[in-house]
Amino acid sequence: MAFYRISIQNTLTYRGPILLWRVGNLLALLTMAAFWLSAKGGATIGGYGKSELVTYYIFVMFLQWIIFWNASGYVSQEIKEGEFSTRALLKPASYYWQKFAHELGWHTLSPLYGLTIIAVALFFLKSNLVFRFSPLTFFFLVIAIFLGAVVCFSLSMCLGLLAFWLTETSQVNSLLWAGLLVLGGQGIPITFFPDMFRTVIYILPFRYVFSFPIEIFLGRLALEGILVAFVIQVLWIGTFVLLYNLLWKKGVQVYSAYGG
Amino acid sequence: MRRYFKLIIINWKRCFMRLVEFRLEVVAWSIHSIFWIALTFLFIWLIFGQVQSVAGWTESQVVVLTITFGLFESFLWFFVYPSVLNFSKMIRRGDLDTLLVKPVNTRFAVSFSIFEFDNYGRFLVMMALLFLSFSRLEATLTLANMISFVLLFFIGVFIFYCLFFIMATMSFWFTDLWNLEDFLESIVDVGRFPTYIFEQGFRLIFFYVLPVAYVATFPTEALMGRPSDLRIIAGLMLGIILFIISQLFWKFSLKNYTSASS
Repeated sequence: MAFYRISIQNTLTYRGPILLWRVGNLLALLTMAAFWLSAKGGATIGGYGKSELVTYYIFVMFLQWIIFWNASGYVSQEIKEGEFSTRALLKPASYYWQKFAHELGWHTLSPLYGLTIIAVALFFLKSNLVFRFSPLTFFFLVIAIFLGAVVCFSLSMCLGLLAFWLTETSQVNSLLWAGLLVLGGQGIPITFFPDMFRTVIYILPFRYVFSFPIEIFLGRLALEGILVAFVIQVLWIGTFVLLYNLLWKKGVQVYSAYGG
Repeated sequence: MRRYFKLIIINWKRCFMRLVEFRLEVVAWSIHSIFWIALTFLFIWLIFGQVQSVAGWTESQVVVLTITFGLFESFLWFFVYPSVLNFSKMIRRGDLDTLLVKPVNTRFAVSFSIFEFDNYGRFLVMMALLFLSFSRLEATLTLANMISFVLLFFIGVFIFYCLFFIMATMSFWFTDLWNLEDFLESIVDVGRFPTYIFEQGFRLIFFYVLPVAYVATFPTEALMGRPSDLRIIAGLMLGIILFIISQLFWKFSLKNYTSASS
């Protein structure tokens, strides 16, 4: 709770930068909406109507604010700069949960700064929105978002720990971005991929961060599909936590801090 | 003038030596940026697997537009982004003092002190792809089209240099703009697509107010043989106006500069 409170306080001090990010998000959203509305195709594009695609990208923007728990940059930086000693090794608290509290704090407050942006987006795009919502889908959506955030976070922690062995980690960290953007449905709906690719996408963890909650939101999944996806989310979280523990044990043995 | 040219060459050499010093990182970075180029083309392939055209632009035209966008970004990362971001950082940290006391025009010093050669891999790949993809455009490549392309391209770079300089100068007033880079990138990113995707009102804004059409749309249209004379004139005028505004704003802000250190 103490780490969570600190994170909330930190987030409050970043009002200006968060506002800049949100305006950037709005520009990206309006561009994507204009792009799809100007596209000439069949009755549906990749299985989506144009309004569904616009709704898809509004929801992607919202999800980016609440689900993209990426600690890899902080972890690798702390390992490389030696801060890891004081932040992780000397504190009587799990490093994993410290970072978890930090991400939770950041993603609790920062979406609130985006409410105005959502209002502006809705003003311009209100005629292109699709809502198929019931209390049950909302319940599933909340669970899917939370588990998706934990999948993303656990994977990012594993990538961050690779800094024990690598001197340059930014390229490794960008694998997470690329995975989510291309295979996770953040950049483009996964239905745009040919069938053989889609089989791989359904196995990899990326779909279970962005695409899965959006599919629930747009009412594209039956109950069975939702339950199977929940199981896969939990399996991926378990896998990444095990991998994290393994990397931690091996990494601490090779870790050496510079300076005092 | 000659002295300033000499300074650019010296800075250029210094930055190139730094690049040669970290060869492995440069190779890794080049592979990384080429990987992202590949992803961009994967997106185009996936999108045009589902649609015939976007705002009247075919797949081949969007490919050339994307390559032009990549070239534009490479150029911005060559000197505009590094200089402007460093300028913003210097204001925040109070380091600008060191440049103010130097016997050289300070705006020149902040604008031409850093050159990032990391993007040369992406630049070369994009140039090669531009030549390869042009044959699919169903347009005749003439000298006039090429000159228009180059002119519009560099007018665009100049316009964005002025715009970014104005935004970085705001660091004199708002000291926590440490994520300015992300914001500037999000503006340029609008130019990744044909500006015709926007409806009339927005289109006019993106043509001549926040002129992202100069990033890739106008240069690509010049290559396709569409009339560009008026756009070149409008772009030049816009560039001059933005330069004057940025210069006035810079002088005004400098008077209010209070160092954070000494």
